[in-house]
Amino acid sequence: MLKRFALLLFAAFLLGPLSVNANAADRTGTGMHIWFDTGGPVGGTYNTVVYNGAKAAAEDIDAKITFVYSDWSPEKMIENFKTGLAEKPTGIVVMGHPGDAAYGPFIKEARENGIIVTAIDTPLPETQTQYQSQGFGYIGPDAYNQGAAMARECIQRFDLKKGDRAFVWGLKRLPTRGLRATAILDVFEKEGVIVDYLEISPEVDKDPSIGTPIVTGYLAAHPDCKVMVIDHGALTAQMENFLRTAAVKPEDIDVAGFSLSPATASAIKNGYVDLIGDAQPFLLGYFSVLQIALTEKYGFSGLNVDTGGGFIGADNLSLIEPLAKQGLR
Amino acid sequence: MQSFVDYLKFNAVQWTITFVFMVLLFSFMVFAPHTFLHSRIYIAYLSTIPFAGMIAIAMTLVVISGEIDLSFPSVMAASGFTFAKAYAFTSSPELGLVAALATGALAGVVNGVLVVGFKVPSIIATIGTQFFWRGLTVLLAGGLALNMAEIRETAFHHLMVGRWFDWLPAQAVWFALLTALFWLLLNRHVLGDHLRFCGDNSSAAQMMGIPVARTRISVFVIMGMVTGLSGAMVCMEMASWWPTQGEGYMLLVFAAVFVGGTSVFGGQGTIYGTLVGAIIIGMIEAGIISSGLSGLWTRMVYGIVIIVSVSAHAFLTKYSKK
Repeated sequence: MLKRFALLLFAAFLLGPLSVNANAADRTGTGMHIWFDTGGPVGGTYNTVVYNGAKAAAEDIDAKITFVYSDWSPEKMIENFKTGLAEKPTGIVVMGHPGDAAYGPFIKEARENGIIVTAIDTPLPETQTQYQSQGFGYIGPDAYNQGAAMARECIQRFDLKKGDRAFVWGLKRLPTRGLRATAILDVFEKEGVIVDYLEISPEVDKDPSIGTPIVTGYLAAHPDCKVMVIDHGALTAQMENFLRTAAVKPEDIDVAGFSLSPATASAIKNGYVDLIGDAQPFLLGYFSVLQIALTEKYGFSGLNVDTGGGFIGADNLSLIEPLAKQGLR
Repeated sequence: MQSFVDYLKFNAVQWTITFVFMVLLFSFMVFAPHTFLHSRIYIAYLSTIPFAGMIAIAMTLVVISGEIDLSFPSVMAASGFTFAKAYAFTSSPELGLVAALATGALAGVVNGVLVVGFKVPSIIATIGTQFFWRGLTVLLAGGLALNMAEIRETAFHHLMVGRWFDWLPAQAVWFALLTALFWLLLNRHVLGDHLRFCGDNSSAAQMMGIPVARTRISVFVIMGMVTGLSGAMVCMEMASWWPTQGEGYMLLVFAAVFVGGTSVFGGQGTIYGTLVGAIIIGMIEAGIISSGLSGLWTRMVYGIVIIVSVSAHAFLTKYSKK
């Protein structure tokens, strides 16, 4: 009995590491190190979902992943990229906000050192053309297409006609991100809708609770406004509060916005928000990590995935809401 | 007549800030009568200005004492988080408020100990604690916002941020009470004199027997608790907590304090000035938008108001000392 037990132990000692190695060898990302810029601040609503996607992918493929945060600052993104270069990872995932010109020399340096780079959220078209065959892809919404799709959906769902008034609250000042607001304005204006555009101030951008008097003031000045499009996730989440303060009833105005959060879900249920454009940020994190690993292991070229095609309303909310609470949608 | 001139001269800073406020309000009434001649916009202001206003009032005491607190946006987030978590666990917003106040007080004690005990300049110490509290909060929250939609159904919500008589935001009443309390504290209580002496010359205050260390720690604790109160009230008003809570208040609070005539060198400042400063800063953006101007004008107008106010304060302070 004792002999059999000793043999069993000996076999486990020999085969144990082998089986672990065999399992590890099966995983696509084993031994790889991915440097990942989440783009926003620590705990930011949107980039935390991106983070969750990247973390899930890294766990699934057994890759080591390092997260950095850039507070949506292009300068900080470049700084983080330089730090990433010094770490010599297998690959770097960047948000494209600084643009091709700013990233160009550093991505060139990365490629010369054998580091794979890929972009998410905001495309880097020139860099992608140059390095797509070497794994440089783009995962994320096409800002202009997403904005245009939202505007068309608003026209269709809310029966907007020539001469109707709409309010758009956006961030046109941000180079590529601003294309979403630009597209909304373009489609509305082409349709003959009267559009009042308001740029989101840096304070309101960081702390949506400050936005209340702005909505009240605007609606008091323009009681004929039929639709409000809020090109900002955190502000969309607070539209119920804004409209309650402005004494506007849910049926008085149609509201469209972006990114689903628990507060937005609550606003949809109560009828204060009617339509949400979903950029599916979890996919940005997940697919970009896979992109690096697949390129490193199998030499695949860069993927081009548009994640911005989804819309959420009262009709499909019940499916998506639990996922939003977990930071997956 | 002479005494009236002396009164005007003695309160020149407060008259200036009142004049700036009247000019702005009058301009908005002229350019946006559809908004500023109706009550709705004022109700909106009464619902939002109190949150930054409360913190600005407390910050006035901090600045008068010769210190500064840059950690309040993060303390606001941390207090809001403890409020949300305590409410989630107990379904009691009252306990949530106690947790938020305790968190604010703790943050104040930490700032006070760093500044008084370890002699770290407050500007540096509170930069450090700002990062610490924000980091800790985000870590504990896992970066996710917390929704509390059901809090709107509680009686305590109605008491703190509800609409009394179906129109009056409760937070405006609490803000008015807090402002009155702080006015008494600064002008009719020994703590007010201690703060001014500490801000004017802490060594001389020490020699005069004023408990400088205790006074300085107290002012940080008061600041923390008021920030905690504001954080909890914002959570109740918005029925949610989010990880970047408080970040947008930095400019608003300091602008309110300095537009209100508080001296950056300490020793001088008024609660009335900060109150009017908070109202001015809080009303600008909506006023500009209602007037039909692009939101891009907002920051320039903020700049003009701040420059005009602080320049007038500097000139009048120099003049009144002659």
